[in-house]
Amino acid sequence: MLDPAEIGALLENIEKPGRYIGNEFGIKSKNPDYLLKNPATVNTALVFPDVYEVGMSNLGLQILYKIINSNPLFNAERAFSPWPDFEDRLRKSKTKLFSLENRIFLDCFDLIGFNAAHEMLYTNILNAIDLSGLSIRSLERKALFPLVCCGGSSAVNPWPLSAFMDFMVIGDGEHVISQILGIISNYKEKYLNNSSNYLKSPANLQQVKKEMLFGLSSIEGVFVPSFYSLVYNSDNTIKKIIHTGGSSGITGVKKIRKAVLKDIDSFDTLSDPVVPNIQTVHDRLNIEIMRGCGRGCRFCQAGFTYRPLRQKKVKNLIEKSIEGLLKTGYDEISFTSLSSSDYKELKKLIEKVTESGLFEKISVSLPSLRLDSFSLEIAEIIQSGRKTGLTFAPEAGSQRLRDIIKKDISADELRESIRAAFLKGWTKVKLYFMLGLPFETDDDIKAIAETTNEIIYIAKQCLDKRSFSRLQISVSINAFCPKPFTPFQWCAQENIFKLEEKIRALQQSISSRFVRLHWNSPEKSSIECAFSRGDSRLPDVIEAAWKKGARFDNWTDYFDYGLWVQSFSIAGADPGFYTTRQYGLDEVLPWDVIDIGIKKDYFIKEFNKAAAGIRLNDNKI
Amino acid sequence: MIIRFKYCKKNEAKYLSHLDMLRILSRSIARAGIKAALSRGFNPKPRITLSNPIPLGVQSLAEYADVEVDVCLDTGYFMKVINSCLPENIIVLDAACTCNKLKSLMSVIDVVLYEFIIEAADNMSLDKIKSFIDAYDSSSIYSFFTQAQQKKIFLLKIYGYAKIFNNNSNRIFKFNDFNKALKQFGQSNGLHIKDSSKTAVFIIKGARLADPFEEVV
Ligand code: SF4
Repeated sequence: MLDPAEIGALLENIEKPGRYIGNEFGIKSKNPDYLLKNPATVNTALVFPDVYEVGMSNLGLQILYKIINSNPLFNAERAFSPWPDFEDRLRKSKTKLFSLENRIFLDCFDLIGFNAAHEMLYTNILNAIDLSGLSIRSLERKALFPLVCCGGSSAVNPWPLSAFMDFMVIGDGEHVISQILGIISNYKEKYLNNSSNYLKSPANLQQVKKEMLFGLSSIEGVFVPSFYSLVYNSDNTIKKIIHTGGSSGITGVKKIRKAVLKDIDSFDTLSDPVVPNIQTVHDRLNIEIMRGCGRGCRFCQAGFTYRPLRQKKVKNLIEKSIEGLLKTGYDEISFTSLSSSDYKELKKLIEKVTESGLFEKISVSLPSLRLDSFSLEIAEIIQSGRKTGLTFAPEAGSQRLRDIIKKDISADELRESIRAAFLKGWTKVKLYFMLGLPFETDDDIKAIAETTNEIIYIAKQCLDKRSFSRLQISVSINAFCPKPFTPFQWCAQENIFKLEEKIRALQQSISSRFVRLHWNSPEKSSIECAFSRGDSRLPDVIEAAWKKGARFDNWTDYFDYGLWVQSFSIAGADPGFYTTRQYGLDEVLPWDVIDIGIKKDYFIKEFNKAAAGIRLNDNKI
Repeated sequence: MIIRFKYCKKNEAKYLSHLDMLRILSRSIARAGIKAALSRGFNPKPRITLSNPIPLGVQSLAEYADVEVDVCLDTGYFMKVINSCLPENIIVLDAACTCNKLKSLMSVIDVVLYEFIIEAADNMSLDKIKSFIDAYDSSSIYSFFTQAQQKKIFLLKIYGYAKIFNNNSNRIFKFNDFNKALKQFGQSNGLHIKDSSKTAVFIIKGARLADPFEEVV
C-alpha cells in the first residue's frame, strides 16, 4: 500500500489531482481492516485504461465493481490510466500504479481486469501493466498472481492483446466474473499458507498456474491465449488455428463461446454507482435499458456482438431510475443502450421518472435516437423548453448506399423528421456520416452534400427569419472501418489518401455558413482497423509503439501516426495487410476462434445481399 | 430561507476545487433529501453559494456555504443527514438557519486565518522568519506558538486580508504567493513547512473579528 504521507508529494503540481484520490461517495471496496482480518479475500483491480473522467463514465466498470464487492469473499478497487504528467511523477519517484480506494499497488492484487472498450486503448493497457511493476508479456509473469485479463467490446478479436493477457473474457461479464473469482479464490486459499515450499520450484509454479488457467478456460466466454496459436501460410494469411496447451486430452480447436446474460433482469439495474467528485465526461446517472440491438446495420459491430436484443422490464427500470436519482443526487439521467428509441416503453419510462413528483428538475438524455417521428416526440419531451439539438445518424448520403449498409431510414422519413423538427423549433442538427463504405461511389459522397443542402432548404421553408439565422448543422464524418463479426468484415478499408481526398471534396461541396464539417482522422481510423482485424503479429506492433511512447491514442493531441507506421515496420508487419486488403471469404479469420453466436454463413449471406444492392431505390434526398 | 453551514475539507478532499465542491454539495444535499431552491433559467441549479475559493491542495477547517431552502430545517437534523451523504473527508461542522436575507459569503468575509506548522533547524530562526514576514507584507498580523516538548516545531498563525479596505492600504493575502515565498525562504534558512491549512474566516465588526454565523443569529 502507498504510504499515506506520500500522496501529498506525489500530487504536488499535478493537473487535476482529484483524478487520483478516490474518496467518492458510493465506494464499495472492503476497508483495510477487513482485508487484514480476511487475508484470503480475492482482490481485483478493475482498470479502465483511460483517464479518470472517461473511465468513470463507463457503466460496465461500475456494474462489475458492484457485483464483486457484494460478495464478502471478494474485493474490487478501481484504477485508471494516469495522465502523462502523473505517469512521469510515478516513474520518477519509482511509485507503482495504485488503486484509488485503498491505494494498493496493482501488482499486489490477485487479478487485474482491463476494460478493452475500444482498440485505441491498447497502448494504455500495456502502460498500466508496466506501471504496476509487472512484465507486459503474460509468459514473462511467473508469479501465480496477479493474473491479468481483459474484457469489453474490442476483445471479440482477442489476438492483438493476446500476448499480454493471461485470459480474456468475451461477452457479458455479470455471471462470468463470480465464476472466475471463485476459481482464483480456491487457488489463493490453497497456496496462501503453504506457498513457501511447493511453489518455490519454478516447475511446480508453472504447473499450478497452467492448471488454474485451464480451470478458468472452462468458464463460458473465457479465452486463454497461451493455449492457442495461429499457423500462417506463406502469404501471411492464416492456415489454421491450433490448440497448443491446456489439457493433453483436447484435440481440435474448441471455439470460445461468447458469454451471454440470458435474463437481463436477473441482475439488479445499478442504482448506487460511485459518484465522482470531479466532473466526468458523462456526469449523470446511467441506466442501461436494453442490451443488444435488433437492427443489424451491416457495418455495426456492436449490433452483432451484443446480440440477442434484451429489453429490461419497464417496471424495474422505473423503480431503479428513481432509486438511483435519490441515492446519487444526480439531476440528469441517461437511458443507455445501442438504440434507445427502440425500447418499447421508452415514453412511459421517461414520463414515470420525470413526473414521479420526487424531483423538481431532472433532465433526461438519450445517447442514440433514430430519425423518425417517435424519436422526435421523445426528444420533445426531454428537451422541453430548451431545444439543445438533435443528433441523427443516416451514415450514408444516398438511399442506395443506406440500403446496402442496411441503415433503415428512408429518404422520406429523413425529410419528414427534419421538417417536423424545424417546425417544432429546433435549429441545431447534428448528422453522422461514414466515408469509404463498401460499394461507395462518388455519387454517394455527393449525396451527403445534397442531403445537407436539402436540409438547409427545408429549414428555410419551415423557420422564420430569426430562427433561420440561428440554424446550425453539424456534419460529422467518420471513416468506415471493417469490423470482425459484421457482414463487412472482409471488406477493404479505403486508403488514407483517398479518404482525405473525399473529405476535401466534401469540404468544397458543403460550403454553407450554416454547416460545420467535422471529421475524424483517417489515419487514426486505419490504425483502429488494423487492430480490429489484427492477428497474432499485432502484439509486437503494440509493444513497439508503446516503447516508442504511444499513449492515449484516442486523444487527438497524443495520437502520432508516424510512430505507428514505424512500429509496424519494427514488428515486420504491413498495416495495409489488415486495412486496405480485401480478406478472402474462404480465409481463416483470426477471430474464427470465437463463437459470437452468429454463423459465418449468415455474414456471407448478408454480405452478398449488400453486394447485390438489394432494395435498389435511387430516390436521393 | 437560508441554511448557512460550515464544513471542512480534510486530507485528500483538499484536492477538490471550488467548482467540484459546488457540484459535490449540490448532490449531497439532493441525496439527503433536502430540496434546495432552484435558480431560474433553462438549466436550473440548486441555489448554493460558497465562501472564497481556496487554492487546490490546501486543507481547510473553515469552509462556509449558504443553501437556499423552502422550509426551515432543524439544524441538528440537517447536519446528521448531510454528513451521511457527503464523500469522505468533507464534514459539516456547524449549521444555522435564517429567514433573513444574507449578503453573500464572498462579499462579507474580510479575513482568513491560515496556520503553518514549521520545523526549524535551530532556535534562531524565529526572529529571522518574523523579519521575513514583515518584509513580505508589513501589514501582516501573525503570531507564533511553540510546543514545550518540541522546541523545533512551531505554529505560525497568519491573518490574511480577503479584500481591500477603502481607507487602508492593505494587500489581499494570496496563499499561494506567500506559501511559495515562505518555502523559498525556508530552503535557504533551514526551515521546513510540514503542514498548512486554512482554519478560520472572519468578518470585521468594529474592532472585533466575528464569525460568519453571527450574521445568521
Ligand atoms: S448502427 Fe445502431 S441501429 Fe444499427 S445495428 Fe448498430 S446499434 Fe443498431
